[in-house]
Amino acid sequence: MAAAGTSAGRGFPEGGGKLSAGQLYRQADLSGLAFATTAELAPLAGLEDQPRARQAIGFGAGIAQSGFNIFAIGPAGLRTQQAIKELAEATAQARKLPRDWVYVHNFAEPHRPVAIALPGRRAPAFQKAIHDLIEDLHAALPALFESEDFQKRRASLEQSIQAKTERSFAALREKAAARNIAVLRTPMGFALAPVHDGKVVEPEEFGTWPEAQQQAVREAIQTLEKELEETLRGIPRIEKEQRDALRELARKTAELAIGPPFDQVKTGFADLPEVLRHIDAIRTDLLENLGFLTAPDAAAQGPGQAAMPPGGPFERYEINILVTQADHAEGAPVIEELNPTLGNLFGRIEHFQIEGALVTNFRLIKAGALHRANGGTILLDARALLSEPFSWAALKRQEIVIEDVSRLIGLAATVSLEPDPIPLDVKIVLVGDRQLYYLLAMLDPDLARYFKVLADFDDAANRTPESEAMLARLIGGLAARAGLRPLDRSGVAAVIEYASRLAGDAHKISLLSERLSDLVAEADHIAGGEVHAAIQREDVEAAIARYIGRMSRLKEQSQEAILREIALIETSGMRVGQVNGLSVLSLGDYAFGQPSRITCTVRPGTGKIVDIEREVALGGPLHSKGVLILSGYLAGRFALNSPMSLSASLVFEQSYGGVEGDSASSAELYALLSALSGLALRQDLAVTGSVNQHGAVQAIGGVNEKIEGFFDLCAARGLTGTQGVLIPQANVQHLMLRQDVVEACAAGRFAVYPVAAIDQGIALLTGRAAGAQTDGGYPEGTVNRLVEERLKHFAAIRKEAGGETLHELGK
Amino acid sequence: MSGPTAIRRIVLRLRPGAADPAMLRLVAELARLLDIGIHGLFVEDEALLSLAALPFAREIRLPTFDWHPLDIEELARELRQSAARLRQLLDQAASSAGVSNSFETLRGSPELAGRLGAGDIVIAIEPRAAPLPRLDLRAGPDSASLMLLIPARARPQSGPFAAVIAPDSAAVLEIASRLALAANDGLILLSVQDKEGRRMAGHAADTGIPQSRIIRGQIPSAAAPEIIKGLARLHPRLVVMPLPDLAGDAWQVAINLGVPVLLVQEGGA
Repeated sequence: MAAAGTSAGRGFPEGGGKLSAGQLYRQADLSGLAFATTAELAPLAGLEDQPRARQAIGFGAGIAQSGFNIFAIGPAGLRTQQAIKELAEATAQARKLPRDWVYVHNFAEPHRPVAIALPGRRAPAFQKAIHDLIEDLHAALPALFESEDFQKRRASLEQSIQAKTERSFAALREKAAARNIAVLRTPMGFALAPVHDGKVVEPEEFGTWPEAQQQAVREAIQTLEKELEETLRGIPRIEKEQRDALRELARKTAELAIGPPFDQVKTGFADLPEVLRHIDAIRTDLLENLGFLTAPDAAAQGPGQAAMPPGGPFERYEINILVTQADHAEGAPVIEELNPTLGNLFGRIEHFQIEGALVTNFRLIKAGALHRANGGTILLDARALLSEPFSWAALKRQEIVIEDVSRLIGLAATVSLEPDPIPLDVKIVLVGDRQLYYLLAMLDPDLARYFKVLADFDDAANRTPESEAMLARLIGGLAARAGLRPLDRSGVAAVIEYASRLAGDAHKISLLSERLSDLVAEADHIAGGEVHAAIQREDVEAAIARYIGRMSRLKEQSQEAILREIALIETSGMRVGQVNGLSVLSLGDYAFGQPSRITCTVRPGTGKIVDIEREVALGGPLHSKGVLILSGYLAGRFALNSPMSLSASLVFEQSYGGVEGDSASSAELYALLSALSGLALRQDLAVTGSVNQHGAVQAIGGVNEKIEGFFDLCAARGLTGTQGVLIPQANVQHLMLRQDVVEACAAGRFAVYPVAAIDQGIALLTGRAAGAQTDGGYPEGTVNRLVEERLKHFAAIRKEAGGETLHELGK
Repeated sequence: MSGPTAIRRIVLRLRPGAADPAMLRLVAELARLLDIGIHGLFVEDEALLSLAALPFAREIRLPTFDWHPLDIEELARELRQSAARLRQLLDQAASSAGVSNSFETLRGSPELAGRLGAGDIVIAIEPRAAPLPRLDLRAGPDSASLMLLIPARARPQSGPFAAVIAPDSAAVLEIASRLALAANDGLILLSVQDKEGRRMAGHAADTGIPQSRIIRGQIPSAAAPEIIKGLARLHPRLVVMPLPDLAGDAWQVAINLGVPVLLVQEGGA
């Protein structure tokens, strides 16, 4: 398609519709806030800037009913979490002190340790009482068993039983001897042998004996063998009797000794039945296992010499304090767990190695964050929580069950423990982003059951003198907390204006404190180099420039491709069916605008506008929707009393990635109208904005980036004074343009045109009036008249050619 | 005070299946302190071999209580294996303590009175299994002048040495002092007469034991219960006693205190 040959600026409404410099950037107004630097400002407390979230958290933290846990969503940032924590801590002060929890040995089922709750701060006393008791007994009982009295009784008992054994054996020997038989000890047992003159009869001698005598010996031995067997079989029984008798003696002796100290310990915990039951269990177990205390090793070990080492026999009597409020001030605890693995949340069971085997016991049960937070509040990052296997599912239970992950996934078969579950009474505060929350709400119906309170943090606030003053205090607080220089008035204003730019709206300020905090930190670094006592506007602007500089590698590559005419974008002249559209590329936290050439061709057809992006699956649904709206616009605007006989093709030239969004639909319509009318469009202008079927131009996103993207290209080629960007009228309120753009506009070297309707835009782009419809149709020479005539022409061709032929044409 | 008691060696009579590494270590430690060697004596019981040659001979085995025919060749092989194993254990214990040792296998009567001589310490071990009768020290055929009684539950080897002093107990005192000196440990002197005790303490000090490490105690009589009472709280590691007068009570002392008792025949060694 040939260019129309009109010169740039011809018929262009000079100065008409351009935005003034004041409309391109809104400066901060700190006139109502008297301060020299932020050091003089009171820092923003808690969530003063987030009244909705503050009210929600206050409600969630204060209500006692279960399920009213809090899911805080909004911009991530340390300040948010810090503020939530401070608010939760303030609420927790009013709650009662939680209970202490200990795990103790289960004497009946050792693999299932018993959890005992004690009133807050009393667990250490319980632990010490039992430890001291056992240590005292450890020292006292061996001495008791070494006492003269006990030794006498034991020796007497042993001797009487020993004598019993010896008597039975001696009787056998005597009986055998009477029949000339001897009892001999063999390497593996006993045997009976005939004796003569006190010596075992040699085989040769035995052979010389008469048969009757030999037979008598054999019979005597056979008889004695039975008695020998009976005697030997009786020995284990006698030994067992001895053991039982000794054990009973020791038990009775010990019972007298340990009774008083046990009773004394119990008096300190008379109000705690579970504790008393456990003390009784210890006492019973001690009496049943006095061998620990009477063994030579135990005596040698002595008190105070690591008397209860891991795996030692006395360890079972110790108390494992899982959580105690002994070191906690008044009120309930507020715990933040940054790494919410299952183990870190619910506790874990550790093991130690004995001769190559991994073993464990109740003392190796370690508390998790939920144990520490039980009775209070726990703060968790939702993303981190959901990233950890098992943690989310486990959190929904109403009790703390310690489970071994390796067992859950079948990786370990080590003998482990099943500790008593501990009732969970904790206020959970999850902090996450909105997308995560809504995704979870969709996928997990339990979310609404367990997190009934939503604290929705605003990303941005309305920009008013009050909110600007609040932001000034927030910035000052961030700087002070981070140990940075204060900001002077100019510095604060620059940060506020940047916050507005971050919000993408001159009438809003972003509350993304993390990004603002980073900006202030970098500005402080620059201010240090400049030897500024306070951070000034130039420091902040330099920090912004450096940040953009670090992020703009791709932007520069894109612009270079245009400047070297690899990507074809014209910034002067006029072309039929060709317009400069604008798009935004987002790379993490950074976004930039870049121009794209949009072209359109038309021919007679069946009324179909072909979106080439869509045909090759490069266009997203919103883009396709925008293109389809164009058909509606044409049909509504140009009522021809005949079927639409147009076939048009629209394409983003040199676009090799996907195209999404409808912000280019106005540009596409301009290209279509140009192609139909044959009027050339100005290439020194770029266009953004979506359009509806009535031709109204609607707001789009990223307007600042788009304007700056086209400005940068024009500036690189040299500003001509005619270049500019058409933006939707509704986007004027969003303008927070870069200073160099504002300055160029103020100097008349660049322009931003607000457009409310397609007719306005097409007039700017073609230099010819769009034309309003009258009874006689559109006025002669107007854009719309030319379009209408071209459409009528296509309809006539279609009528003449017949449906089938045109159908073929339209394909 | 007479000259040093001549102690030649410790003679350890080893029976099949009677190997106890802890007992061997205890014996080896004593040998180290006395600077003497250990002689292991393994006796292949002649009577047993004679019995095994009889066609109807059989044994009841422990702890299964089942009867098996006694085969002379199998018995001989078992005895050889037992001897080899006991020799190995003795070698290990002696080597660990750094003392010399020898081993001898004999065939004959288990008592083997003729093999023991003056200056030999013969070991008697408290039987763990009841059927074995206790050694009757007085009536025994051994001619050894020293005998070490080891209780089944001997405690760890640490603490002072104790000597039970009777009139003319020079050999007891001399050996106990020698042990305490070698171990750089204390010496407990237990006597019926305080005067005797003081005199003996003086002799002990003359051997080089610091006075601070000598503890004297007086007991009403030299009967076993008095000795046990006198030593119970002092936790000696070994008790040295004279043989002729107190042998009847010696086992009682050893078992009740849980320590070895070395019996010394005055004038015999």
